[in-house]
Amino acid sequence: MNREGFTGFSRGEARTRTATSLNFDNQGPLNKLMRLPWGFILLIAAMALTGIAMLYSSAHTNPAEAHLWKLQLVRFVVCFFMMIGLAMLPLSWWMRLAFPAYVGTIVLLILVEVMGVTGGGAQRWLQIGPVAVQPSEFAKLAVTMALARYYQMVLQPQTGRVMVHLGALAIILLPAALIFKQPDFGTTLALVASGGVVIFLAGLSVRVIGTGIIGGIASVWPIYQFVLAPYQRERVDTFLAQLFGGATNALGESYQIEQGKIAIGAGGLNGRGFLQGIQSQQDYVPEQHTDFILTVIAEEFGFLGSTALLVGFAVLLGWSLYSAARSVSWFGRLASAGAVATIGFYIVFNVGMVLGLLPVVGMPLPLISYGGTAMLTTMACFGLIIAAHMHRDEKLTARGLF
Amino acid sequence: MSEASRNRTRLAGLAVSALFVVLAGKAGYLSLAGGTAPAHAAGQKAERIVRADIVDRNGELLATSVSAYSLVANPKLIWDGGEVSEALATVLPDLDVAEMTRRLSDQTREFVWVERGLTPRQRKAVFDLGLEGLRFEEESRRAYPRGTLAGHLLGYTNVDGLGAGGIEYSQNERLAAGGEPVRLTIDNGVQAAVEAELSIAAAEHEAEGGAAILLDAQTGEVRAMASWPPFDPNRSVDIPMSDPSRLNRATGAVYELGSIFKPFTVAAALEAGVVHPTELFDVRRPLEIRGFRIEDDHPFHGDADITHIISQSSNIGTVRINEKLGPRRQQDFLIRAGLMERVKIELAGSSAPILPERFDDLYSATVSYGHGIAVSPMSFLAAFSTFANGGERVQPTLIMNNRDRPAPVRVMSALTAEMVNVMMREAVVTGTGKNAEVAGYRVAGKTGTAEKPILGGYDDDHNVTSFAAVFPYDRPQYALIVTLDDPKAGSGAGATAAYNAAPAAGRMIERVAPLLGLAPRFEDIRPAGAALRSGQEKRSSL
Repeated sequence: MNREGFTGFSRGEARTRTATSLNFDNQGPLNKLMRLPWGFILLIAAMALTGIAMLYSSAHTNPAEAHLWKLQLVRFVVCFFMMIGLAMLPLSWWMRLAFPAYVGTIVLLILVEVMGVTGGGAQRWLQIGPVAVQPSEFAKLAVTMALARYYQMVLQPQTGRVMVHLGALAIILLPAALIFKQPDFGTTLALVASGGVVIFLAGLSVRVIGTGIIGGIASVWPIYQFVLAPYQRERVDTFLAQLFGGATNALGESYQIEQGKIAIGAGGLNGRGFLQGIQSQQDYVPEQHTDFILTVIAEEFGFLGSTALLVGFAVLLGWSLYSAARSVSWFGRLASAGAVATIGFYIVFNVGMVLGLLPVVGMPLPLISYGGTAMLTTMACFGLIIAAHMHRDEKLTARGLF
Repeated sequence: MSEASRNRTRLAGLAVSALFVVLAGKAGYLSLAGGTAPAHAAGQKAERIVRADIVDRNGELLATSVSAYSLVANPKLIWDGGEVSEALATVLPDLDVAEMTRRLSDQTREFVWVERGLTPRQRKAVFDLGLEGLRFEEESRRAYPRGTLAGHLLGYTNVDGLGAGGIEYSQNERLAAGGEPVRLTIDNGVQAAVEAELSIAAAEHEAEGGAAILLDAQTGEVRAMASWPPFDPNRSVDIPMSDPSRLNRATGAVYELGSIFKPFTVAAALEAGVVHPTELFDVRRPLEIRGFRIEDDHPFHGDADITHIISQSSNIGTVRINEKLGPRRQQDFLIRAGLMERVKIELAGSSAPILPERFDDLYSATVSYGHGIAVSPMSFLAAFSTFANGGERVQPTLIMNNRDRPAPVRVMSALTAEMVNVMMREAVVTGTGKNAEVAGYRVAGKTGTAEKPILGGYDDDHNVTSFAAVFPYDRPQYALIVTLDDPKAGSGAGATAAYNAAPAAGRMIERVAPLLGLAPRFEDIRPAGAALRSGQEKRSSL
């Protein structure tokens, strides 16, 4: 039984009438700044600073990488202020930005295809002036916003029609196809997954979801056989072999995973202590300052340290979902939940990959891994979540937005 | 908002929670189960057989295996061969970038050697480049910690770690099986002394090459084997195949050794009973055999006995003795002495002798004083060592406790050997070998100066000089040969063996005899002519 049933109002409406009318006069920017969820923001900052400390630990022995932590700190500070700014942006602005951002991202993705920079065997980077950006990272946020905007537009009188979700599917698949072509299998998967979460939350019928899951499972083998490039196939093979305890070439394909596991095992319960990790300090684990940063944490701070990190992420995601559920507007709820899903999949994919539960797909750990674009996307996602939280009581209308 | 939508959000939250629990569980398993140390990888490392070491007779290291890394590329995984090659060139400066780019861009291949024998430091540098498609294979590289010491003897291994010369080649099977080191009969100290003295002599007399071998005549163990110019097996890859330092002149080169063959002729004649030790021979006039003139450097006045023929190295006298012996018995003796075939020793480079086409009277005469037959110094010394072993020839060996040898062959009676030793002692005390005398060590020996054969005859400006010795002559144990290829005449001295090979042999014996544990013993009556060798006198200026 719905608690708000006898008030005649939904919970959100009641809140709108009380809280908003009460605080209507105090909407100045300073006041808004004070009302930001500072506990949430402090937790973000604490985790990012932990990441920078781990970056220092993993890279300081290598002269070529010793300066990276300073660079990352600067990036974080810039992104932090950007997040605060985004958080204070009215949700209607976010909504207005959604489709232009989506179109812009699609254009960038096409530009990557045409004139992108090849790095590490894939065409993912776009050189804009002095900075190289990875449009596929922006795509995650842009798709989330576009989906939320789309549902806000079509779901106004709530519909249960399946056809409505086809438009959402198109919004996901267009950038997904472009990213898959780069090729970037991991990002494609994360994009489709977080988009799927948004569609799920928008009320796609369970029957359709069930069919989709069955279809997805059925397509695993054809994708493996016909779509994946040989090097991707090899990674999947390696992954399956090590997952089921088969023999893998610990010096070849699975070297990274094995070295990572040795580092995690070496950490034990309490870890070896900051700057004391043998695997980390000796650069045994490739890409340790980016995708495999968790192995540094696990080796130097042990199981307790890595669990604390996961708990921190769980708190961030849990609070965000809780906040998203309380948003009255479809846009606020779905955009916020989509942002949560984006970050959540980052974490699950990265941690799963490092622990050997998932194939190596090249996903950074949000807030912790070294990398500018990922930091920007993550902080923008948090900005969106906070903005949705701040304006959870606003009933947005599609009318008058364009 | 609808309750259904809220429930779905909760469901999503639950799903994320469940995933986190799985992650935390796996992280906990990895941390607390002590990690999944790759047991199979560790196993492989333990099973990998390391090529056995080579040590000297006292167990001192001569060759060992050290870990090295090979860099291997899989071009199928490399997108831009040029980029990878240029990055590699920053770490491996010797890399041919153009060639490597071509090889790494060949998408049909899956395996390309980039560089072999990388040190751990280089490996880390390549690792830090973070390039795709590269991996390392651990293998072992051969190291020779003593550089040129016994370099020819040890040989070297090729890039695949297989023996390609010397002991490394001949003992490849045993070395490749790993385990106990292969113990050689040489003694590092003795070897170093012999090599040093050979170098000094070769440099002082500007020789083209040289060889020296010291053999324990009773056991057949080679105590030192040196060849000049020296060879460092650590640099075997850099030294061109045609470089003269690659040749082991002790076993791989054959020379007409000249007068050091005369003791064989005398021994054969004494053994056959065709001459009497005190018999006199007319050596005043040159001999002529089918138009070929045989003469002596220094004409003799009057008849000479055999001792005199040996000590003064008379060609005419030797041919006179040989005439009594006859070609058939001479040939039989040479076969028994093992001079007609390549010497069997643990070196594949042991060369076969160059023998006269027919053993007619002319060749028989020239062979009697060491011309017209070319043998390796090792081959010669194996035969010559019978004088120091009571007339029995033991097959020489380089490997300690080598039981894989035939029984000794009797070449002559002990009495004959003793008589020839006395004659050779006379050569050192009063004859051509005076410069080889070492106070207290009673050297007996024979000089040999052979003109180098050229097309259609002999070159009287270029010699191969040798000194073959047994010591101590009255209780002989060791045999030594020193051979110098084309030594030049010094100031106030000729280019014959008396002035280069003999003093070099003397200095070697002086240095190694104490190392071999021989006690000096001084003879009561010293012939007036034999000067006592002092440390400073006649010492090389080098």
